[in-house]
Amino acid sequence: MVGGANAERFRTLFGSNEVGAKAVLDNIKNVKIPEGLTRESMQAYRELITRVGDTRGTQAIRAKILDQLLK
Amino acid sequence: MLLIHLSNNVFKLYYCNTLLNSDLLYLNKSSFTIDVKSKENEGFVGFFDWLRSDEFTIIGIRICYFEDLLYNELLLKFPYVNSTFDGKFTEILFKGNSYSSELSGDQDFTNNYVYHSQDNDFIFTFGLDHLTENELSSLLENCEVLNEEDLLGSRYPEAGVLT
Repeated sequence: MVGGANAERFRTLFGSNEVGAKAVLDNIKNVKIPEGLTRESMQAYRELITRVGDTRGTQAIRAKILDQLLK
Repeated sequence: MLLIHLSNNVFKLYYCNTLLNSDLLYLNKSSFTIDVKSKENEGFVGFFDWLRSDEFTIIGIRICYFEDLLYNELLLKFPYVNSTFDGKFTEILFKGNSYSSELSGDQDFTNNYVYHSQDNDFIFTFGLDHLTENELSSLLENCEVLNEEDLLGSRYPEAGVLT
Protein backbone atom coordinates (compact mmCIF):
# COMPACT_ATOMS: atom_id res chain seq x y z
CA MET A 1 0.00 0.00 0.00
CA VAL A 2 2.92 2.38 0.56
CA GLY A 3 5.63 0.85 -1.61
CA GLY A 4 6.15 0.80 -5.36
CA ALA A 5 4.37 3.61 -7.19
CA ASN A 6 2.99 4.99 -3.94
CA ALA A 7 6.51 5.47 -2.62
CA GLU A 8 7.12 7.86 -5.49
CA ARG A 9 3.91 9.69 -4.68
CA PHE A 10 4.96 10.09 -1.07
CA ARG A 11 8.31 11.38 -2.24
CA THR A 12 6.52 13.96 -4.35
CA LEU A 13 4.33 14.92 -1.43
CA PHE A 14 7.06 15.21 1.20
CA GLY A 15 10.07 16.44 -0.72
CA SER A 16 13.54 15.53 0.52
CA ASN A 17 14.58 15.27 4.17
CA GLU A 18 13.33 17.49 6.96
CA VAL A 19 13.89 20.69 5.00
CA GLY A 20 11.63 19.57 2.20
CA ALA A 21 8.99 18.36 4.62
CA LYS A 22 9.10 21.63 6.59
CA ALA A 23 8.56 23.61 3.39
CA VAL A 24 5.51 21.50 2.61
CA LEU A 25 4.10 21.87 6.11
CA ASP A 26 4.59 25.63 6.01
CA ASN A 27 2.56 25.72 2.82
CA ILE A 28 0.06 23.04 3.76
CA LYS A 29 -3.02 24.99 2.66
CA ASN A 30 -1.75 24.98 -0.92
CA VAL A 31 -0.52 21.42 -1.00
CA LYS A 32 -2.00 19.21 -3.68
CA ILE A 33 -2.08 15.50 -2.94
CA PRO A 34 -0.30 13.63 -5.74
CA GLU A 35 -2.69 11.93 -8.10
CA GLY A 36 -3.29 8.32 -7.13
CA LEU A 37 -2.27 8.69 -3.50
CA THR A 38 -5.25 7.47 -1.52
CA ARG A 39 -6.43 8.28 1.97
CA GLU A 40 -5.83 4.64 2.94
CA SER A 41 -2.22 4.83 1.78
CA MET A 42 -1.63 8.01 3.75
CA GLN A 43 -3.12 6.41 6.84
CA ALA A 44 -0.89 3.37 6.34
CA TYR A 45 2.21 5.55 6.04
CA ARG A 46 1.16 7.51 9.13
CA GLU A 47 1.00 4.29 11.12
CA LEU A 48 4.28 2.95 9.76
CA ILE A 49 6.34 5.95 10.83
CA THR A 50 5.45 5.39 14.45
CA ARG A 51 7.55 2.22 14.21
CA VAL A 52 10.89 3.76 13.29
CA GLY A 53 13.40 6.15 14.79
CA ASP A 54 13.56 9.75 13.67
CA THR A 55 16.99 11.29 14.17
CA ARG A 56 16.28 14.65 12.50
CA GLY A 57 12.56 14.98 13.14
CA THR A 58 11.79 14.35 9.48
CA GLN A 59 9.08 11.81 10.20
CA ALA A 60 7.51 14.04 12.85
CA ILE A 61 7.06 16.77 10.24
CA ARG A 62 5.68 14.27 7.73
CA ALA A 63 3.23 13.10 10.41
CA LYS A 64 1.99 16.66 10.81
CA ILE A 65 1.54 16.95 7.06
CA LEU A 66 -0.50 13.77 6.95
CA ASP A 67 -2.54 14.78 9.99
CA GLN A 68 -3.49 17.98 8.17
CA LEU A 69 -4.33 16.19 4.95
CA LEU A 70 -6.32 13.46 6.70
CA LYS A 71 -8.52 15.85 8.68
CA MET B 1 20.29 2.14 -7.63
CA LEU B 2 22.92 1.36 -5.06
CA LEU B 3 23.61 -2.26 -4.20
CA ILE B 4 25.54 -3.12 -1.08
CA HIS B 5 26.95 -6.62 -1.18
CA LEU B 6 27.51 -7.92 2.33
CA SER B 7 29.66 -10.93 2.98
CA ASN B 8 31.39 -12.16 6.10
CA ASN B 9 34.18 -9.66 6.61
CA VAL B 10 33.81 -7.25 3.75
CA PHE B 11 31.20 -5.24 1.97
CA LYS B 12 31.29 -3.76 -1.50
CA LEU B 13 29.22 -1.12 -3.24
CA TYR B 14 27.83 -1.41 -6.74
CA TYR B 15 25.91 1.09 -8.81
CA CYS B 16 23.42 0.31 -11.54
CA ASN B 17 21.90 3.17 -13.49
CA THR B 18 18.59 1.40 -13.96
CA LEU B 19 16.08 0.22 -11.41
CA LEU B 20 15.94 -3.55 -11.28
CA ASN B 21 12.71 -5.42 -10.87
CA SER B 22 13.82 -9.00 -10.58
CA ASP B 23 13.44 -11.84 -8.12
CA LEU B 24 16.94 -13.00 -8.96
CA LEU B 25 20.21 -11.10 -9.28
CA TYR B 26 23.65 -12.30 -10.28
CA LEU B 27 26.81 -10.87 -8.79
CA ASN B 28 30.30 -12.30 -9.11
CA LYS B 29 28.73 -15.40 -10.64
CA SER B 30 26.64 -16.06 -7.54
CA SER B 31 22.87 -15.90 -7.62
CA PHE B 32 20.85 -13.91 -5.10
CA THR B 33 17.16 -14.48 -4.45
CA ILE B 34 14.88 -11.69 -3.34
CA ASP B 35 13.66 -11.87 0.24
CA VAL B 36 9.91 -12.41 0.29
CA LYS B 37 9.20 -9.61 2.74
CA SER B 38 10.97 -6.95 0.76
CA LYS B 39 9.15 -8.13 -2.35
CA GLU B 40 5.76 -8.13 -0.65
CA ASN B 41 6.37 -4.59 0.60
CA GLU B 42 7.42 -3.39 -2.88
CA GLY B 43 10.74 -2.13 -1.60
CA PHE B 44 9.33 -0.12 1.29
CA VAL B 45 10.75 -1.89 4.32
CA GLY B 46 11.98 1.02 6.41
CA PHE B 47 13.83 4.30 5.99
CA PHE B 48 17.37 5.30 5.20
CA ASP B 49 19.47 8.41 5.58
CA TRP B 50 22.47 9.21 3.42
CA LEU B 51 25.35 10.13 5.71
CA ARG B 52 27.09 13.26 4.43
CA SER B 53 30.40 14.80 5.39
CA ASP B 54 29.33 17.99 3.63
CA GLU B 55 26.43 19.02 1.43
CA PHE B 56 28.01 17.42 -1.65
CA THR B 57 29.57 14.27 -0.26
CA ILE B 58 27.99 10.99 0.78
CA ILE B 59 30.17 8.78 2.93
CA GLY B 60 27.71 6.25 4.30
CA ILE B 61 24.17 5.18 4.97
CA ARG B 62 22.00 4.88 8.07
CA ILE B 63 19.12 2.43 7.95
CA CYS B 64 16.12 1.75 10.12
CA TYR B 65 14.01 -1.18 9.00
CA PHE B 66 10.58 -1.90 10.41
CA GLU B 67 11.16 -3.96 13.52
CA ASP B 68 9.07 -6.95 12.45
CA LEU B 69 11.30 -7.59 9.45
CA LEU B 70 14.49 -8.53 11.35
CA TYR B 71 16.72 -6.84 8.77
CA ASN B 72 18.31 -4.64 11.45
CA GLU B 73 19.36 -7.76 13.37
CA LEU B 74 20.62 -9.34 10.20
CA LEU B 75 22.80 -6.34 9.36
CA LEU B 76 24.31 -6.24 12.82
CA LYS B 77 25.82 -9.69 12.32
CA PHE B 78 28.36 -8.08 10.02
CA PRO B 79 31.38 -6.56 11.77
CA TYR B 80 31.47 -3.39 9.64
CA VAL B 81 27.85 -2.47 10.45
CA ASN B 82 27.43 -0.19 13.44
CA SER B 83 24.47 0.08 15.77
CA THR B 84 23.48 3.65 16.66
CA PHE B 85 20.79 5.55 18.54
CA ASP B 86 20.29 2.83 21.15
CA GLY B 87 20.07 0.12 18.54
CA LYS B 88 17.29 1.74 16.52
CA PHE B 89 19.53 2.33 13.51
CA THR B 90 22.34 0.60 11.69
CA GLU B 91 25.07 2.47 9.87
CA ILE B 92 27.61 1.55 7.23
CA LEU B 93 30.37 4.03 6.51
CA PHE B 94 31.81 3.82 3.01
CA LYS B 95 34.81 5.99 3.81
CA GLY B 96 35.97 8.16 6.67
CA ASN B 97 34.53 7.90 10.13
CA SER B 98 32.50 11.03 10.76
CA TYR B 99 29.55 12.73 9.15
CA SER B 100 27.35 15.74 9.68
CA SER B 101 24.21 14.80 11.56
CA GLU B 102 22.52 17.98 10.39
CA LEU B 103 22.95 16.98 6.74
CA SER B 104 21.86 13.38 7.17
CA GLY B 105 18.11 13.23 7.70
CA ASP B 106 16.69 12.07 4.37
CA GLN B 107 14.40 9.32 5.71
CA ASP B 108 14.19 8.02 2.17
CA PHE B 109 12.33 4.80 1.42
CA THR B 110 12.33 3.77 -2.23
CA ASN B 111 13.56 0.64 -3.98
CA ASN B 112 14.89 -0.90 -0.81
CA TYR B 113 15.09 -4.63 -1.48
CA VAL B 114 16.96 -7.47 0.18
CA TYR B 115 18.46 -10.47 -1.61
CA HIS B 116 20.34 -13.46 -0.24
CA SER B 117 22.59 -16.12 -1.70
CA GLN B 118 22.97 -19.75 -0.74
CA ASP B 119 26.27 -18.81 0.93
CA ASN B 120 24.48 -16.33 3.21
CA ASP B 121 25.80 -13.31 1.42
CA PHE B 122 23.30 -10.48 1.06
CA ILE B 123 22.55 -7.62 -1.27
CA PHE B 124 20.64 -4.61 0.00
CA THR B 125 19.43 -2.17 -2.66
CA PHE B 126 18.60 1.52 -2.28
CA GLY B 127 16.96 4.01 -4.59
CA LEU B 128 19.11 7.01 -5.47
CA ASP B 129 16.68 9.11 -7.42
CA HIS B 130 16.62 12.17 -5.25
CA LEU B 131 20.37 12.59 -4.86
CA THR B 132 21.94 15.62 -6.48
CA GLU B 133 24.51 15.20 -9.22
CA ASN B 134 27.32 16.03 -6.80
CA GLU B 135 26.03 13.61 -4.19
CA LEU B 136 25.74 10.85 -6.75
CA SER B 137 29.26 11.54 -8.00
CA SER B 138 30.65 11.29 -4.50
CA LEU B 139 28.85 8.01 -3.98
CA LEU B 140 30.11 6.61 -7.28
CA GLU B 141 33.70 7.10 -6.11
CA ASN B 142 33.05 4.14 -3.82
CA CYS B 143 31.15 1.97 -6.29
CA GLU B 144 31.86 -0.47 -9.04
CA VAL B 145 29.48 0.28 -11.88
CA LEU B 146 27.44 -2.60 -13.25
CA ASN B 147 24.79 -2.63 -15.89
CA GLU B 148 21.45 -4.32 -15.92
CA GLU B 149 22.67 -7.21 -18.10
CA ASP B 150 25.40 -8.03 -15.58
CA LEU B 151 23.00 -8.17 -12.66
CA LEU B 152 20.23 -10.03 -14.44
CA GLY B 153 22.65 -12.71 -15.58
CA SER B 154 22.33 -12.10 -19.28
CA ARG B 155 26.09 -12.24 -19.63
CA TYR B 156 26.39 -15.47 -17.73
CA PRO B 157 24.41 -18.08 -19.65
CA GLU B 158 26.13 -20.73 -17.58
CA ALA B 159 24.10 -19.40 -14.65
CA GLY B 160 21.04 -20.86 -16.30
CA VAL B 161 19.35 -17.64 -17.27
CA LEU B 162 17.70 -17.40 -20.64
CA THR B 163 18.50 -14.17 -22.39
